[in-house]
Amino acid sequence: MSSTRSPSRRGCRPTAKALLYVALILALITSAILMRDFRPIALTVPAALMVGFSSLFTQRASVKVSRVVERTRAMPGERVKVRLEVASDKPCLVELREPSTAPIVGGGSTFLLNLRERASLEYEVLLPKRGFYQLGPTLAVFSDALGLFVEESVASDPSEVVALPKLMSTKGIKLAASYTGVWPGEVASRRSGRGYEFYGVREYAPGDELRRVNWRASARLGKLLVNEQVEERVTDVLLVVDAGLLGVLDPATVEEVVEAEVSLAASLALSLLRSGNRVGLVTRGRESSWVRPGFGRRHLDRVLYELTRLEAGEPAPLDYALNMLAPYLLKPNAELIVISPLLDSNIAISIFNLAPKYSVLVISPNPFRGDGSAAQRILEVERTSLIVKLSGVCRVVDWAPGALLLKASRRRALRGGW
Amino acid sequence: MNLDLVRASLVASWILLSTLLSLSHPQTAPAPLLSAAIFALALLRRSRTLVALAVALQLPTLVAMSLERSLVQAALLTLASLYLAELGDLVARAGPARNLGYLRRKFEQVTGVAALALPVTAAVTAAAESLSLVLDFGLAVLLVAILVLLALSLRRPP
Repeated sequence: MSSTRSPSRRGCRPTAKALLYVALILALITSAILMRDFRPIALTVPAALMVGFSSLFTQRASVKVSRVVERTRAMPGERVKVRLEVASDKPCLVELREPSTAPIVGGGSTFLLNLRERASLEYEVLLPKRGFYQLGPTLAVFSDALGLFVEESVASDPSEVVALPKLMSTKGIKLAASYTGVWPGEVASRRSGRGYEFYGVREYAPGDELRRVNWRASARLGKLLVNEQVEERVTDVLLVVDAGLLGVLDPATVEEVVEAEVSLAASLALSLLRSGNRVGLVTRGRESSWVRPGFGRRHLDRVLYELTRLEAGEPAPLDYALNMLAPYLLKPNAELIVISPLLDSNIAISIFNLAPKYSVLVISPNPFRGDGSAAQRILEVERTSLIVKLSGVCRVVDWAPGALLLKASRRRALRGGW
Repeated sequence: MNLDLVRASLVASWILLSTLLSLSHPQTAPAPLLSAAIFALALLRRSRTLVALAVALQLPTLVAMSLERSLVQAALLTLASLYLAELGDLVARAGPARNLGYLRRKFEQVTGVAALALPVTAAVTAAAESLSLVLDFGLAVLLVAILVLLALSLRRPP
């Protein structure tokens, strides 16, 4: 990606050094007054002359900078190379300042250039964690010989680099929606057709493949019978990510839980969209947002963008959003996946209401490690109680962030859930 | 242009200047010597603030010299001090991997400014010394007022 803009001047301003020169001259005059002697004032002559002659060497030019970012989307912890193509209408001495919200690890943010016509500069930024990072706008700074006055101009537009959520394995998560679409997918429908799971046998009809004939049953009943499989089709999925009501936890735990939630939601969205399903998103955090179910690469980008934006916070109750949005976004009996630490009993009430209408799966990252304060232990007990209650109406996975999701879902299945 | 060599030459020049000042006015000798140490540290740590401090530490000796010895000599030493400080500031501002072409051109410009200021300084101070001007208190206050106004206008954002 590259960005260019024509320069716009920001005006001339004195630097701290200019004020130091004024202070020096003032100090000499003050000392002359205090000593009632003219001679120290004569020492201001070289300083004043330096300031005066410095302006004779001021250069100005029209500098344009084009920024080429190696890639605008990367994973947290990755480095991104940035190249600045600088062009000037005439030779000049210029200082280029490139502000960046991402830490610069290779090169620097300030470049001193003896620019003839063109120059190419490179630096590297590190994207420490999920989020949006701004590079630029590049400032071209011209100054006089001593750098007493500077004139800045904006030489390029800013660019944005996105550190997407980390991806993780989503093995162990199976959809159980009874609503299915028309396209082949991975969700077992109630129809017979092409698939893997056995559905039943029926009488042979002309055109049936011979390899589908159930020879044993045919021999027993004396007529040709063929096996039928459950047809697997796509479905609609609404992912609900709850990053609210985490104020009772310490900031490090909040960050860990939110990152785990976002990472899981991004991985699920990717995997479900790859299988042809339509995926929607409802988030609750500092800013709430929702995305109507859709499919395709652009839709994945939209979902990942919203997930990248998600930060912990609690602007609006999620239960209200869920009750209002779910019927609007999701068809009856489709899949509703709620990713929430379950610290809010209202969301549980909302899930109780929605469970009869949808196939609900709750994945709850556990923010407690059993070594917290008394208040946290009470919250932990309340959360466990909620999980038990919810297990009666839907599938619930109690998941420790960092652990494999597959293990958590198996544990749940062994306990007799699903 | 080797930056380390430039740095070493600048420190050596500053030490020489400080020694000259110390010898010419032994009563204030510790200040220029301390200034030499600070200047060396400034270039090592690439600190522009320390460069300014080094210049400030030379001022008492320069004022004392202007009062007790030659005015021309004091003014020329002030110019030398400002010139070296400007070069030191440039080196301090430049990081380890800066464009050497930029530094060379800036060195030329700063040297040009000092070269232009040198004869004028010598002429003006020699004339002032020969005329033996006496400070008019009202004029001095007016000068200070003008400079204060100038400083305030410089502080105002553009």
